[in-house]
Amino acid sequence: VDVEPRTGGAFRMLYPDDRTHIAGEVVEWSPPRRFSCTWVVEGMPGFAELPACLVTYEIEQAGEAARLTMTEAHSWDIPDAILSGGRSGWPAILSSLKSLLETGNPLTIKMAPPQEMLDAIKGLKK
Amino acid sequence: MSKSSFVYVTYIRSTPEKVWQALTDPATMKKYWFGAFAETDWKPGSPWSLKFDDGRVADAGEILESEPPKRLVIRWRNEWKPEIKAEGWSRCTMTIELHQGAVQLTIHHELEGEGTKFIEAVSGGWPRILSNLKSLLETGAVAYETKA
Repeated sequence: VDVEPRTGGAFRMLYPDDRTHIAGEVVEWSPPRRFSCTWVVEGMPGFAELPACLVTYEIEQAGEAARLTMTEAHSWDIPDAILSGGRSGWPAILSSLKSLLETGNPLTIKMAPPQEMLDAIKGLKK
Repeated sequence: MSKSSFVYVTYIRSTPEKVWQALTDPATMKKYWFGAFAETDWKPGSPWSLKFDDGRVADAGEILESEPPKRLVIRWRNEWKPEIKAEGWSRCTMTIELHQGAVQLTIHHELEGEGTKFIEAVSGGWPRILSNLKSLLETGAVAYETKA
């Protein structure tokens, strides 16, 4: 991740080879409670034309633990098939984050973009 | 009729057998379920109840499907809050799948009717319970002992 830590700053997620995967703008930067940014998937064919979504992380103390709530908000009637990517990806990413923080080791879960999502993106272009 | 539902997917560095054991062994459950535990023999058709640490019945129902270490389906109703009990029988499906690198545990809890109090309640409960379960299996200790 490459982020300018201020409201209006640039936000990017990069692939290991430095190509841009996701690009957006910081909407709120309030450490350590809340981070919100717009989110456009630039690194995958067909996705860059979709409306930006808003990704928000909220961090709260919950007893002895920290509660992290991730929200992905869309401004259009996004098809379920396109949401399937986030539905499969986020749980793996957030699970791995928890493992990393608690054990020092992330999970290495083998994943690929869901076919129904790729098909839906192709369908939109027609 | 429309349904209300809750889905939670978590990945745990463990084996399907250990996740199954944690979901079905009362002594292990107590550690991550804030003292609550199940009473059942986990056979299809058998009664199932979830009890608070003081022995009061929190929820009750029946085992609908049981396929260790892969799949568990429970007919599930709240027993201690009359307004939630009145919403009727929910169905909870727990699925355990081995992926490369981790075990995927999916909880799918559903009930007839839109915006039910029952699904609202379990939506607050499951993330805490499953977060604790993952911590317990990966580190030997839960994330939090008391229900915050």
